[in-house]
Parts: sequence; C-alpha cells; structure tokens
Amino acid sequence: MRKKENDGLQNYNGGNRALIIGCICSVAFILLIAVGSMFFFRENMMRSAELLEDVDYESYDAYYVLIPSDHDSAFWQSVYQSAKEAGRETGAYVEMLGSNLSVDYSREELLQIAIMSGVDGIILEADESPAMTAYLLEAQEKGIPVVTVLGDNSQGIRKSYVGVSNYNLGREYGRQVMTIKEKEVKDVLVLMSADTADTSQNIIFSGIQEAVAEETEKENLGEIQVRAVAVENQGAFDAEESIRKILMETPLPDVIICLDELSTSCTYQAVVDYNMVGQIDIIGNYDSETILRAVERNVVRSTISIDTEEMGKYCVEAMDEYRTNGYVSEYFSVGTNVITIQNVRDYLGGDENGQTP
Amino acid sequence: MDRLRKLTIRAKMLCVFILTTLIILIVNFFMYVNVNHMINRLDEVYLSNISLNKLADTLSGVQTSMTDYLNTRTSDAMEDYYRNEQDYSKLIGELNGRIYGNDLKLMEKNIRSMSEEYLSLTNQTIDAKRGGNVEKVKARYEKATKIYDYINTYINSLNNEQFHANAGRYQALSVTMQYLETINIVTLLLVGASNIILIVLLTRTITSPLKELAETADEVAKGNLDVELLPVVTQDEVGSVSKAFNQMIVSIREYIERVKQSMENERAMKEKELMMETHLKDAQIKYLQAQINPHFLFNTLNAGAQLAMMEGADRTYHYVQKVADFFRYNVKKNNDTVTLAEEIALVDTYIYILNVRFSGDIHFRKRVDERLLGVQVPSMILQPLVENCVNYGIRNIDWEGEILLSVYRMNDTICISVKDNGIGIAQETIDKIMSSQLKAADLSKDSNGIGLDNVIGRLRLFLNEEDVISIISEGENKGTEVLIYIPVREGEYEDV
Repeated sequence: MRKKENDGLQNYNGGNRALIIGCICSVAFILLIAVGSMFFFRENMMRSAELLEDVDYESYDAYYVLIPSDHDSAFWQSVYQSAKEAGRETGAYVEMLGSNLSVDYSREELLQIAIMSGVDGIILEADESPAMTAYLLEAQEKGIPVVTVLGDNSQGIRKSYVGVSNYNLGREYGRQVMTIKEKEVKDVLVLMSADTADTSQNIIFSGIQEAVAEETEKENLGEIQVRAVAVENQGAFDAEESIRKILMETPLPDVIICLDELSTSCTYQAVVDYNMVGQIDIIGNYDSETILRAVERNVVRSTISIDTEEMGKYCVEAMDEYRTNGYVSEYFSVGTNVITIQNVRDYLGGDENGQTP
Repeated sequence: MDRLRKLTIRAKMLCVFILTTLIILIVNFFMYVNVNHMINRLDEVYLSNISLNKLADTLSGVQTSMTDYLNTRTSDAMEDYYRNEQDYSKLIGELNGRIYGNDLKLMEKNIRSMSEEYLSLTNQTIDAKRGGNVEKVKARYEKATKIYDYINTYINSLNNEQFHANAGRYQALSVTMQYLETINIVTLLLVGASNIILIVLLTRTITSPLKELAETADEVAKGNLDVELLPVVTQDEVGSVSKAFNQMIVSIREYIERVKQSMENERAMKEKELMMETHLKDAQIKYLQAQINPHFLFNTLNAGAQLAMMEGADRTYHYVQKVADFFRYNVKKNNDTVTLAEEIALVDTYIYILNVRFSGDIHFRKRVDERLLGVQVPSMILQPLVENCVNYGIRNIDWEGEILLSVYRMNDTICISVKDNGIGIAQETIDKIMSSQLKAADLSKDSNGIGLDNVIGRLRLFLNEEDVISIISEGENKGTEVLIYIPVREGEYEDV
C-alpha cells in the first residue's frame, strides 16, 4: 500500500516536473519574443536614427562657386566634377551655383548672389555684356577674385581666363572640313549662337574661314563657301526647333559645323530624322555619350572636345594661386581632342565625360 | 514550490491570472513605448522644414514691416520692423556659417550671408528714410528687395531639397513603423498563445487532483475498494479532501479485513470442536478395544477349544474357534481397508455365534454377486449393520426374524443391502441418524460399540462423498433396509 502511494506521488511529481518545464518554456518563449522584437526594433530604430542625424560633413577652408551658362549640360557637369575634385585636394569646396535653386537665375543674378553670399572665389563663364562687367566690378570691390572660363570678359577685371584658344579651335574645325575627300565640299554651314555678346564664336568662325581658305589655296580646289547661321538658343528648347527649321528651309549644306554640345546633338538627331545621313557631314563639339555613338555610326564625322578635366583643374588652380600669391597668370590654355571614327573606341571605352583615357 | 503547494485554489487561480495578465501588460507597455518613440521620431522628420518656414515668415515680416515703414513712417511699423529684424537676426544666427562639403549646408551659409547683407541694407534704408534721403531710400530699397527675392528663393529651394531628403527619411521611418506594427501583431499573437498554454498548464495542476479524486470516487462507488490511494501533493482544499478520502478507504479496508479474520476464527473453532468429538469417539473405541487383551482372549479361547477337542466336544470346539476368529478380525482389521469378501465372512461368523447363542433363531440369507467380492471397503461396516438388525429389528418380534444381505451392481454403483423384516424405524429416527444427531449415549449396552453413526462417518470419509447410505423403513413392523452405495470408479469392474 505504501509503495503504491509512493508510485502515485512519483507520477504526480513527474507530471509536476513536466508542468514546471512547460511553464519555464512558455515564459522563456515570451521573454525571447520580447527581447527578439526589442532587438529587431532597436536595429530599425538605429537605422532610422542614422537617417535623421546630420552626417559629419567634411569641412573646407574656401568656398568657390562655378557659374556656367548652362549648369545642366554634360560639358559643364564634367568641368564642375573636375574642379570639385581639384578643389577637394586643396581644401576648397566648389559649388555649381544655382543648380539646386527653384528659380532659374541668369548668370548675372547668380553672380550677384555669389557676391552677396560672400564666397571666396567665383569661376564664371563670362561674356562681354555691360551688366556682367558691372557685377565683376562689384566683386572686385568686395575683394572676391573672379576667374573666367571658356567665355571671357575682356574688361580685365577678372584675375585669369581658362579656355581654349578660339582661333586655334576654329582652325581645327577648318582642318576637319578639309579631311572630307569622299565628296566635293562646296558649302559649309556654321551654327552659331544668336547671343551677340559671345564674341568668342566670331573668332572661331574666322579661324574656320582662314583654315579653309589656306587649304583650298594649297590644294588648288574650287572655292568653298563658309557661312554662319544664328541658332536661337536664348529661350528654352529654342535651339532644337531652330536647327530643324534651318535644315528644312535653307539650301542644304555639305558640312555643318556645330560649336557646342547642344547643337551637335540636335543636328545629329535632325539629320537622322530627315534621312540626310551621308548627305550632310556633321563636325561636332564635345564628347557626350550620344555624340560619341553618333561618331561610331559615322553620322557625325568628327567631334572636337575640350579637355574638361584640364579645364576644371586649371580654374581651381588659378583661383588658389591668386589667393595665395596675389597674382596669377592671365591665361590658361586648355587642350582639345579630335574624335573621329578611328579613335572613338578609346573614348567610348573610357569615361563618359570624355576625359582622355 | 512548497509554498506554492500550500496555497488555496483561489490563491492559485489568482496567481495564474495575475501572472498572465502581467505578461500581457508588460508586453503591451513595451509596445506602447516603442510606438510612442517612433511617433516622436516621425515628428522630428520635418522639423528642419518647420524652422525654414518660420525663417521665411520672419523674413517676410521684416520686408513687410520695412515697406510699411517706408510707406507710412509710423512708429508702429518701425517697432514691427525692429522686432522682426531682431527675430530674424536670432534665427539666422542658428544657421550654418561654415564651409561644409554639402550643398544644403552651403545654401544655409549663403542664406546667412545674404541675410546679413540684407539686414544691413534694410537698416541703411530705414536710416536713409529717417534722414529723408529719398534717392538713397529708393536705391537701397530696390536692392534690398532683390536680395529679399534671392533669399526667399534660397529658402524655398532649401526647403524643397530638405523636404525631398526628409520625405526619404519619412519613408524609411514609416517602413520601420510598418515593421513595428508587424512585430507588435506577431508578438501579441505569440504572447497570447503562450499565455493560453500557460493558463492551460497551470489550471490543469489545479484541476487534475480534483479529476483524479472524482475518478477514484467513481471507482469506489462501483464497489472496487482495491483502488490506488490518491497522491496528496498540494495542501489546498483538494488536498484535504483527498487526504480524507484516502483515510476513508484505508478504514473500510481495515474493517473488511477484521470481519474476514473473525469469520475465519469462528470456522476454525467449529472445526476444532468436530475434531474433538472425533477424537473422543476414537478414544471410546480404543477404550473398548483395550478392555479386551487380545492375547489373553485368544489364549483363553484356544485353551477352551483344545479342552473341548480333548473332551471330544466337537461342536463346542467349533464354536469357540469361531468366537476367536470373530475377535481376531475385530482386533486385526480395525482401521484397515478390507475386501468385501472378508467383511461378508465376518458377518457369517457373527451370525453363527448368534445362532449358537439364540439357538438358531436368526435366519440369515445372502444374495451376493461373486464378482464384486474384491471390492475394497472400510473394515467393520457390515457387521454393525447386521448387529443393528439383530438388536433392534428382529429381537422382540412375534414372527420369524429374517436378515437378507445382498450385494449387486446398479449402473455405476455397487449396492450393499442389509434388510430385515423386524419392527422398522420411525422416519424421525432415520433423519436423526442421517444427520448424526444420535449420540453415543443412546447406544445400547450390548452393542460392540461401533454404531451406525460411526459406520456412516467412516464411509463418508473413505468414499469422499456425502451420499453413501440410505435407510429405508416402510413403517412399524414392516422391516428396515440399510443400503450402502459404493461408486464404481472408472476402469474398475468393467466386466461386471
């Protein structure tokens, strides 16, 4: 009888043990869930906290702004990247002014903003307009050095000019025209900006004329007509319409020379759309992906690109040099590259922005 | 654990529910804290936009109050202007003034620089207005307005950019919020499920002893007292009831055991009594036997026989010889098993002696199946029956007494019948004989001591059966028949 009782007790104790284990398990399970979810939540919280907290940005000694005519173009973006890179090495932050503003300000307005913001240096694609000259004077008064790039203001207020020699550029265009041997070139059309303040294209144009004239004389060829046509590019989307209009209305030229990236792209597309490939040779400017592809397809005969990397670098270098020494060389010459179907692969394989591989 | 066992059911139940409720509460509280934290975070997201809006409002206040003053030259407008100007100065003081490698930070810096320029210009404008210099007022006002536009553009742009970035953060936070929601739901479900398990487990500990008790009680109610005793682990109400129940079962068992014991004792005592009686009888026999010293008796009788032979009294010799045979059998065969033939021979001797004594009054006849003479029977069973016939049946009758001994087989039974034509026996007396109520005291003085009761008892013991004898008497003076039944065992006397 006693034994039986003990057996019962043991069974009961066995049941009890299972129960205790069960209880401990479920409480542990709850704890595990709570801790697990807390941990998971913490993780998420940390991640979102990182988002909220200010990143520790690098601090710079100087603040330069770049004011180009078109801050969205690949050309200027490329120059900007190069300048920014060069600036970082010397402790200067370069900003493309106006690129993240909701209002599209003109260069003059941006110049005014830069002056009032008290920047340490202005890199400006200048022109010869009096308004700009006035603001350049104001900058000088405030002691802000200005370096002009690609476009110059000849009033001499700026500290230095970084750009290509427009005359040489024109001659290069001319030489490119003369490499066309497959057909007889009679008519060369140069697409020029309607912006009269931009005098640099006049120099380019005369460079083209001179080069063509010299070559025809040397080779005893028939006379080649080089004419210029103004492309409206003051308003938004004007250039494209204007170029199509030119192609439809004027007598078709044998060669079209484009002096900037936008007109090159537009002309290329228009020639393809109007089925004039082979009829018209395009000599373009700049080396964007689109233009390089066009060269590869032999729609654009050749394109002349400015070494944007060099350009950006020189701008910052000129600015730094002036700020350290108080004087700087007046002119930094930037090299050009001619891209034809022979060497286009090197550029396509390399950086999109056309930096020399 | 021990303390837990001592708790009452009520306390246990309370513990279970408080524990589970607490768990749920804690988990809920934890979730609430998390959600609250998250909401606070969400509030922070657009903080920068809010401060920029405030900046823009204050700037607009400065411009408006300046314009107002320029228009009206009232001191109210002037006060407004200075208050706004002060507010604005304070606000732009909080803006970033250093050069960081981030466009948004630089925008802040530009706003700050331009605002400083703007404020100095507005102050100059106000001064010029006070001084009444209309030309300067106009020029400065225009310039200030231009800068005001620029600053506004900057603030708007920055606001936009920050809104853009903040929207991204908000997105990330709301994803986290969704995660949190899922976590909360899953956690609640899991915790709820484990709580249910916990409740089930805990209530089972409380109710399972009760269930066991009920089952055992059922078992006992059905009459099965041989149940396992309930384990008493808890010291709550169920524990007390279980303990009492166990006590009850143990008591019942003990009681039953005691009753059984006393019945056993009673039976043993009765047996002992019977044994005593048997022994008494045995003693009586021994006594009777002891009265006759067999050697003396035989020697005496032998001497008598020789004397009779010498005197030439042949009949006397024969008679004495027969008496000697009779007593020898009596002494020798007592307690032994003998054949039926030997028993019949003894009856013959006895009848011869009686006939000599009563000068041939007794007519004895035999009708015996010779094949049954080898049957084994206890000794001294026929002679007492014949003696009874002589002593009670045919002693005092007016007609000729006759005794018939017959042995025959009837089916599986060997029947030995001793029948007389004497006075018969009353049915009452037969019943008494059959139920062994006729005591030794009733035995007649001239019996040789072995009564019918003894014969019946020995036959019953020998054959291991109750139904061994029957006495038949059809009434007064109609004679008596005593029948002995000996069952034929399998294989015995097959030829009969």
